[in-house]
Amino acid sequence: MAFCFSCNQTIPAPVDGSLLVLQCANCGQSNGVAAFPASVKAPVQPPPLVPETPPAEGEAVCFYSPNRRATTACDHCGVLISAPWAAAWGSDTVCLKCLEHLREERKDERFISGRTLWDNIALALALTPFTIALWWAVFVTAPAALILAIRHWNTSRGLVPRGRGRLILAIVISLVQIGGITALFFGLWTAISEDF
Amino acid sequence: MKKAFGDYQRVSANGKGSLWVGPDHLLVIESMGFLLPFSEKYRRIDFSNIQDLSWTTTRRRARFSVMFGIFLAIVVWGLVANRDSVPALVIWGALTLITATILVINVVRGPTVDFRVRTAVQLLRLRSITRQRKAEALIHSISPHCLAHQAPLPGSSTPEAVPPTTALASAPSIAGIKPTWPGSKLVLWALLIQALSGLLTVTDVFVPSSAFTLGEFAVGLTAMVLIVAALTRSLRFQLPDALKTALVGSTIMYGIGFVLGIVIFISALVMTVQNGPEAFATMRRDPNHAVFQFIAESSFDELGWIAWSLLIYGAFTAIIAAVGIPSALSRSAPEATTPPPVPGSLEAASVSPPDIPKSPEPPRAP
Repeated sequence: MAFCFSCNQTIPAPVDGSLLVLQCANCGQSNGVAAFPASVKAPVQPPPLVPETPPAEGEAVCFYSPNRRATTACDHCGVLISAPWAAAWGSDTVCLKCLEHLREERKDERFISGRTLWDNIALALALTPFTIALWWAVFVTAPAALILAIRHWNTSRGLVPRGRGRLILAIVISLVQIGGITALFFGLWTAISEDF
Repeated sequence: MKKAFGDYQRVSANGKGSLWVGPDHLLVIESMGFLLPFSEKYRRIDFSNIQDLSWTTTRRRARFSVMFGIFLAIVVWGLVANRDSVPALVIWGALTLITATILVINVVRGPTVDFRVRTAVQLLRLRSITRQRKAEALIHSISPHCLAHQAPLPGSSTPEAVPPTTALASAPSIAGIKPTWPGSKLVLWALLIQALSGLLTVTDVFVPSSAFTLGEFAVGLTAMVLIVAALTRSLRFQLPDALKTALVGSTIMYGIGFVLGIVIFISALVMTVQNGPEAFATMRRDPNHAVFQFIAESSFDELGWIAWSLLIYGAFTAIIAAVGIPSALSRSAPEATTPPPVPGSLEAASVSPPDIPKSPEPPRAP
């Protein structure tokens, strides 16, 4: 079953993945729906919170909950874990501690949930003075763009790999701006010195 | 942007994010920022968990068209008002060209949609999919992956087990075919006012009055806005031939009218100059007013070929609009009925559980 997003009316769609284009009779909005078998399957029952019988002597126990039987091993750290402590990621099984570690430390790109694009920020800072209203910000943005670009030269630039083009552009633009500011101050200083 | 990296193949991308197909999941990248994305958020949805992919049409294209239509009218006015200065003419001309191009691209790209992916625990809107054509192509490319990772339902995934869509749809349930025309008051009014505008243009040729010409301009402008809105509203449906001819023909007539207007303006300018030194002096002071006064207050014979062209243009406009009015009056949407339950679905099973005995009612307290 699918629903009209405008009025939440039920739309009976075939679950074979074919696209159904129709107009909701309730609100008149056009909807396109492709439903799949997962929409009519019963949800998987979660593992029991407490096992009915504790593990017997000599049985493998969960590393994190010793009162549970171990059912699998973490593919990342290798400890034996029970089902509530296991998380499936594609073909791998990892324990929740490893999952947290991988996400927090950002060592494995498969677990990354977000990333700051420092190359775009540096480029935006370098380009900000070119907007008419913010030309005066060049005194702050040019050094900031240069520092950010150098500081994040080796930082990952998103999950989708891309080159250092934006960083290089930000460095070039900010260097030109800093050069211009220096020349301006030097010229002013020279003029003032000659006057006095 | 790259078309592929690692195990991922790109299926869609725009300024708001991108969508990638992985070996067993869909990778949704959402970008946040201003002009440039400053951060990205990654979401991974297993193909085995996707319950449905769906889109709903929105009115973004119509709003965008109206907004840029108004802007186009302003820049065209600026172009005409500053025709004496070459630099101003170049700037206004460039603005007109850019605005018209954006407007045409917006219309040609098709209806705007909101695209969503549903799983058992989330309903995720994909902001990188904004057009219906793209949404349909995406569904066709992702569906095989979802089906490959989901075991088919025993005996219930065949099309025969699915109820007909007549309960909700006023359209055929075949993918890619537009729903049938349900009728619209907006389209009817647009065509009526368009026909009136054509008749007023014809009448204006014989009535030498500035007030009448101003009124005719106002009706014509209203008709143009309504026709554009009606065309935007109706293109997502399967239109009757007569209605389609009327709407598309009216739009083409506006294009012809635009060119004709420029030619008439230049000719009227020349004719005003030839009317003597007094008219020439008036024209130099206020050329717009002089040309308008000449067109509005001249008789049929004085206008010459301009009168004939306006007569033919008005008549054609009225006839083309009139062709579509009978089709716009008819409504073909069927009445909605309650949909039957899908055999084999959870809902159908929960309606009549076969093996669970009914529990006895608890005794009521006295």
